[in-house]
Amino acid sequence: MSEPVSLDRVARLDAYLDALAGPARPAPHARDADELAARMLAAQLRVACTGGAPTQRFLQALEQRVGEAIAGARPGRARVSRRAFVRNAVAVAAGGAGAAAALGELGAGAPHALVAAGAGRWYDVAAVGEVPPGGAKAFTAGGVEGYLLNRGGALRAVSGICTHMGCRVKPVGDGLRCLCHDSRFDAAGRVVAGLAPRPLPEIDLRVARGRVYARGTREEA
Amino acid sequence: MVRERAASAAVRTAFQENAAEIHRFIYAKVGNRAAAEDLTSVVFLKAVRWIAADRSADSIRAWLYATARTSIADFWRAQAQDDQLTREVAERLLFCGSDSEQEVRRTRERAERILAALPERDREVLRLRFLHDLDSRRIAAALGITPGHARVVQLRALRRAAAVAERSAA
Repeated sequence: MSEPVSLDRVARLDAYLDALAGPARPAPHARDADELAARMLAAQLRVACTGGAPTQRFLQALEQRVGEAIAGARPGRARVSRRAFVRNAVAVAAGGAGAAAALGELGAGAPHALVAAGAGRWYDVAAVGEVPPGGAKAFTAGGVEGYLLNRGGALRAVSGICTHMGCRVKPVGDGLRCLCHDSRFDAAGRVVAGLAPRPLPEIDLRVARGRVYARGTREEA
Repeated sequence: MVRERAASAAVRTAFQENAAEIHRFIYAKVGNRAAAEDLTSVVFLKAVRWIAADRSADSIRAWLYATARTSIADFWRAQAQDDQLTREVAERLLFCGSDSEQEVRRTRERAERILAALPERDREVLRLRFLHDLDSRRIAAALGITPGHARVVQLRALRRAAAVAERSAA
């Protein structure tokens, strides 16, 4: 019971508890079983305080999304794109100037590079020719987890972490699929189906001396 | 067309009847508003594809809870980023029983039991944290201790509470 506690753990748990009560979802991080158990319990103690009733605003926004999804799912009717759902939801949730700012971020359709040019470092992730056409290879580049994909002879790399809730995606068919909620992405990382709000970020690649390098974060191995 | 119209009416009715309860159920297990809203959305957008006109209100409700449970388990697997945490294990760690409609009440009762079983200082800190929604700085001020000490007590208290929960589940 009185085993020593690391200050690191103490601070992490405190930050997590603050995040639980805050407006955003707590960030996922690799944890050991003890820490996970403490987090799970903390999350469940909160219901004693707040009761967990939804806000009217949320219910109304979701009812609208569900209505749009029904319209989109019906054959012969114009499909409402995933992006349009998000846009509507954001507009409803934020309203006015906030919505315009949020759309600016979402509207940038092209996947952005995960690690900015000039930052991070290059990691050797495969030999040229190692990934056959149609194939995929998982790699780690510092703190970056991604897939190297060969589509029609062209190599590209995208992040292996779903933009919805941070689960891992796996290659399936020509694209990638999230194991948690079934979001699907094409080989360019674009959202094809599901709840992912943004494309999988692209990871920069370069080829030198028969090896493929991916730009990842600068971290000690 | 008639069938489709009936199906979409069934989804709307299911939403109106169950959305608030499903949100409460999910909130009780994730403890964070943004996450609860997100998972509730997942459940009802999936329901659009699943619900057909000929399903009964009971079977729809059962499906909504089952889907919510799976989404909650997936949420925690993502939080853990641990491929070893299977859905089954997450389920066992998370839920008080198989009756989802009783889960919120049971979670709340269990929280009370756990708090009652803790030493007084631990209970005080967790009450201030969760029932009064204070951060560690304010907890420290309320108890006349340093914020650093409040954070250490809070970690130990939650660890003890987790151990109590595990014993009572076993």
